[in-house]
Amino acid sequence: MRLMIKKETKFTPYIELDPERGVVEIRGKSYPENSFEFYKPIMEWIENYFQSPQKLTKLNIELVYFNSSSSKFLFDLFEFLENRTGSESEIVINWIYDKENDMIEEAGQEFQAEFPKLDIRLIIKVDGA
Amino acid sequence: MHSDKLICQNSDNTYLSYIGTMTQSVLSSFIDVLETLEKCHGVKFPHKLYMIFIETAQNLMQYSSHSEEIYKIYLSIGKNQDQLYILTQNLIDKEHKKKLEERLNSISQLDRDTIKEIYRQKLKSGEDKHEHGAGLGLLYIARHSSKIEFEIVEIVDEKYLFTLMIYI
Repeated sequence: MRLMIKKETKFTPYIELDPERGVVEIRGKSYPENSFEFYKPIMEWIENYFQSPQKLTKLNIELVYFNSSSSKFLFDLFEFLENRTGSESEIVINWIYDKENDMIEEAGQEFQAEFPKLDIRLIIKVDGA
Repeated sequence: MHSDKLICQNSDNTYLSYIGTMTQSVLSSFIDVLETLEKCHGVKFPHKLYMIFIETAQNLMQYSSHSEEIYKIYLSIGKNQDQLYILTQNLIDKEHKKKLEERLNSISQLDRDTIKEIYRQKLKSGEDKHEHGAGLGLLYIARHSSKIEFEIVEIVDEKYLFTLMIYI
């Protein structure tokens, strides 16, 4: 498995997939016209990674806005991860947002309700961090 | 496609007004405009304005991708008596008219919790995925806006003016 980094664009977030550290970072805005196509290689990387994951895998998701088709990707991702819970490796999802971003907060709460077996932590971003 | 038929709307405050083609790069520039209004001009928008706006604009892009001619739309974001809104207008054909009326009429019968549940089901089933989320988009807009109104009027033979008013 290799480190994969996607630079941030106007429509898509910064993405870093690090197999050594067991870290997935998704940060920025996500409204590609075709989210399915954009996220396909990301999903494939994650599926491959979980064939032999680190003891602890951290997903740091910090989105400012996203479109409904990007939320489909998140839904599929969380569904995949939920099916991995109960195995030896631990998964922590940090759902990070600005304190004024009520939409992202609400989306995080809905994912928590939808995937109760996942450790989704809502984290309010500290100013300047 | 008859962009002279688009009808401009007046309001107490207009933050954005545009007649032209809708593309991803136009959308992202508009987001920059809204962010700049917040940053430099003391305007405060609720966060959902951005998310609803993205869905609205991407819905409009679907139409332009079907059209072979230059496809102009009218879009404005404004405020009337403290009510923030997004207004869009575009010309559609008979087939789209039928589809939109069905969708919007059925959505208007539903309460918010039902819309939320249908949205969740669609997210789960992956239905509409390859439509780039057209169905999901309207549900999203209906779910997060305070009210939507629409009107479809025939302007020339089998061409209709579709107006969508989304109250944030």
